[in-house]
Amino acid sequence: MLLRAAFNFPARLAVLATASLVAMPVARSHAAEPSLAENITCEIQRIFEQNRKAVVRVQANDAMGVRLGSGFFIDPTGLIYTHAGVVLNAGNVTVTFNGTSLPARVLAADERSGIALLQADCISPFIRIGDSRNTAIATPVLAIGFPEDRESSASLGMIAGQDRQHMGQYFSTTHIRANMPVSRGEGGAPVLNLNGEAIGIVVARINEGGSCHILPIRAAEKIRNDIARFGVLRHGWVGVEVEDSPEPVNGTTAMITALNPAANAAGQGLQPGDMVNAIGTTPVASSEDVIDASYFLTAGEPADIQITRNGQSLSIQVTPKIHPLTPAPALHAEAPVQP
Amino acid sequence: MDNEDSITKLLRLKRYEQPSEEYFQSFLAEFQTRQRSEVIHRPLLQIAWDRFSSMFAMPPVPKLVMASSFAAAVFAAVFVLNWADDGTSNATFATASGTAKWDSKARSAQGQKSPAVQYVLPARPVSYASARSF
Repeated sequence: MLLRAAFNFPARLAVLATASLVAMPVARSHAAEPSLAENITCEIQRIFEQNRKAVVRVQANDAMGVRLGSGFFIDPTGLIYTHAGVVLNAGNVTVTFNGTSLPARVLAADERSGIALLQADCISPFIRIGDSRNTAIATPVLAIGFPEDRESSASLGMIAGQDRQHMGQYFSTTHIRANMPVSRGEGGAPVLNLNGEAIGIVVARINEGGSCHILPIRAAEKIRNDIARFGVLRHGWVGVEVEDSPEPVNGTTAMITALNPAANAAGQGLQPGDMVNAIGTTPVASSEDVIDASYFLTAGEPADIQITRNGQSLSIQVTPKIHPLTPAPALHAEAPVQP
Repeated sequence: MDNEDSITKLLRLKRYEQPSEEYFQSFLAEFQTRQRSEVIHRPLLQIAWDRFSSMFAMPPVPKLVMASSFAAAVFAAVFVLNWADDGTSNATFATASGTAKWDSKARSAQGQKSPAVQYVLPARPVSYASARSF
């Protein structure tokens, strides 16, 4: 009786109200909080929607017919990165975006890197440039391109590794390999990280397109900087052959074996037998490391080469020549672009 | 006098004389049958001419208006025929010279093959880097 009296109707009402006040926010927080899958989906869709308008279809004509590829704006003045294969030795270049087609000038078409730089006279949306050095394996990436004759579409993938060669052929610089499906027509498509920044450009498919090779955006920016500063490409060349020595010396096995007289490397102080420790600011530990380090040399711009000679560390300043494989200036190249 | 009286009586009697009911029933049907048979047995040319003339049957129009309308119609017809003739002669000239766009349009319309489309994405990166040199 006493208990029943103590737990009378007002007391029961108070308990019920307190319990519901405690339970409601908990239930509400559970209901409002999206799952991880929903978060990822929303984020990817947001990146795609934000950047798809800055992706263009690039078209050019050659004697064989029409070439179609993808590209993207990298600044608001209509500067475009695309695949060199779309515009190399072709004419009548046009870009289509936002439903309109515009003529574009070829500022540079570089076979060495595999990309081209175009200029369209328009105010354009653009994709921000990211840092392609922060691309660890298993990083998710998103490509936006124009597969064949379809509208712009997105491919989601993951960085699978960094390659210096493919089927025995060395690249001009280390390429990113991504497990990401790509189709014909997506050459030149931007590859974005999940911050919506461009970290690379699709330059080749692997096998049937289940994965692809990506030129790091840092390597593409070398082309853009050359055009901005000089109006032409200025790939540097020192004229040095290296091989791996049997034993490492001072942390490197990269040994100079030959000097090309056309580049006058000998005249600048280098000798066969020198062990290369660094080219510019890029350290060298093996002969393969010189590929990446030398890609960023600029002709006519002095660079320090750290070497070990007879057990002694030396720094030799060389002025690279124009790389023999640098393409001739593009016919339509005009004033330097803004970096 | 007697004759006049008898005639008058006769006329009074005739006034109230009426045909039988059957006569009135068959009269309308017989009339329509005759009308149809007349139409059917008329020559087609005559029917057409009647329709044509009824189509152009207009209220009386002053002769001056009729004449000016006819002149305007003739002028328009001559102009249209002349314009069409010019177009034909241009096309002929272009085909003879072989350079004008009419010619190219004609050739393209005659089924030149559309240019081949190449979607760019090579199977291996473009690279000319020789191994281990800089």
